[in-house]
Amino acid sequence: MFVETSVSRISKYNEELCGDNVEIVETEDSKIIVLSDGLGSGVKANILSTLTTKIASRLLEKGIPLEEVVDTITNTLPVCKERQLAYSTLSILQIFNDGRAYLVEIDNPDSFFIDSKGNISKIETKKRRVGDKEVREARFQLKNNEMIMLISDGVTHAGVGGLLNFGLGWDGIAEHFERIISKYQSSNKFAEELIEVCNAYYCMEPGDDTTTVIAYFREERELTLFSGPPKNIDKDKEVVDKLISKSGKRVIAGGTSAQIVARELDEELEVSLLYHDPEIPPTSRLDGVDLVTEGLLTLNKTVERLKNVSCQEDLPKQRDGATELARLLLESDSINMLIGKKINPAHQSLRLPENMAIRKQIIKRLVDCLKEKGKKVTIEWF
Amino acid sequence: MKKILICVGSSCHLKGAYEIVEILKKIINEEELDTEIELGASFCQGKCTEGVILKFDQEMISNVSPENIEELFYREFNKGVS
Repeated sequence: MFVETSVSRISKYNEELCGDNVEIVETEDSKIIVLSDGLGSGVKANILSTLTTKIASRLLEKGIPLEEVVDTITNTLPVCKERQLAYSTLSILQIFNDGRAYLVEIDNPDSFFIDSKGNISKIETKKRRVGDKEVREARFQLKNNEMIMLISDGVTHAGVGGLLNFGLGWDGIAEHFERIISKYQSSNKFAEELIEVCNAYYCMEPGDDTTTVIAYFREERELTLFSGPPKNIDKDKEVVDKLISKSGKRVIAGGTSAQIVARELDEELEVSLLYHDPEIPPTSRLDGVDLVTEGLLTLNKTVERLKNVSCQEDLPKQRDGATELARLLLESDSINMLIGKKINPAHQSLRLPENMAIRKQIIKRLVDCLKEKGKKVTIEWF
Repeated sequence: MKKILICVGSSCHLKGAYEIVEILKKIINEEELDTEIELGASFCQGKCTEGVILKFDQEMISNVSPENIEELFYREFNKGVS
């Protein structure tokens, strides 16, 4: 199973730095999300919350019990001169690969539980004291397609000083969030849209740092991309076997590569003449493969498409090969590339744009771009 | 019915396959030949250096370009007729 995480935030109006901080740590069998809201706003709040999340996440990563973590934080934070307080809020959510979850909240608003149908509820917590702090704690089991959302109080206060007297509150946020979930698919978009709503209630001048983090527990989405004929023709069968044996989505980028797969599988390759974009060659169809595109030109365009967006919903509504490929890649968590090294004689004689000279370079750009977006990428060269 | 296949691979695309398709569509439309000619796409025929590659029924024609496609089309189309 996989935990997709998305963070979205805005700073208090006229502040350059956000006083909320989020740290996400991956351990061998779990993901830990730490959210902290530092006292005040601006630089001081930013430092406090950064320290809090860093200390907490590093200690937890090393397996130190929570009581000790909270104790360490309260005892080591620098004291605010004006308020004589060393203070920041803290929420910690740890989700294990098997769905076991552990939530701790100190002075942050209640977190949101969202079931697979999009219904929102509060998480039942037990209260106890650690030092002079009241800690709310919950242990529960997540099922496929369930989500948890952590927020800073800027979210529930959305509207104060703007459209509302008392802010949206927990129920108001839940209502807006249910509507957002029904419209989009990726948690990235959920988080972004919710923060947009908050900003609107603040009349675009947020009175506080406003942050939301979503953890989406679901099955890992895999994709295998085959591009470029293997250098040695003896390897053709091996590559095709690898492509077909993988679970998840399968994509071929490259006309010759598609012909190799069609030949090995003894399937008919249907080539289309339908141009959605004059700059991008048409896509084809092959049974058992989710998408077949042309190679280098499409891959080059795919990188461009990816660079401009953070989630699949932001892609243009076109159905050309590059946009389709970008969509499939953005939807996936782990991407396995099977890349052939054979050099197409035509590409040597043509004066291609410099950055597309070799397959290797374009694949490198694609991989860099995907890793930046948090995708797990592996490459096998043939 | 005659069939014309145009290569839509990378290098033929760069050499003008898209324009060629558009010109052929225009000719077929203007001359009302859509019951006589079917347009289709093909992938690399292994002759990239001689692109754009076009297949007119079973005959492979190389070095096609947006400039010579019109002349070439009429030449091939009228071959069987005269």
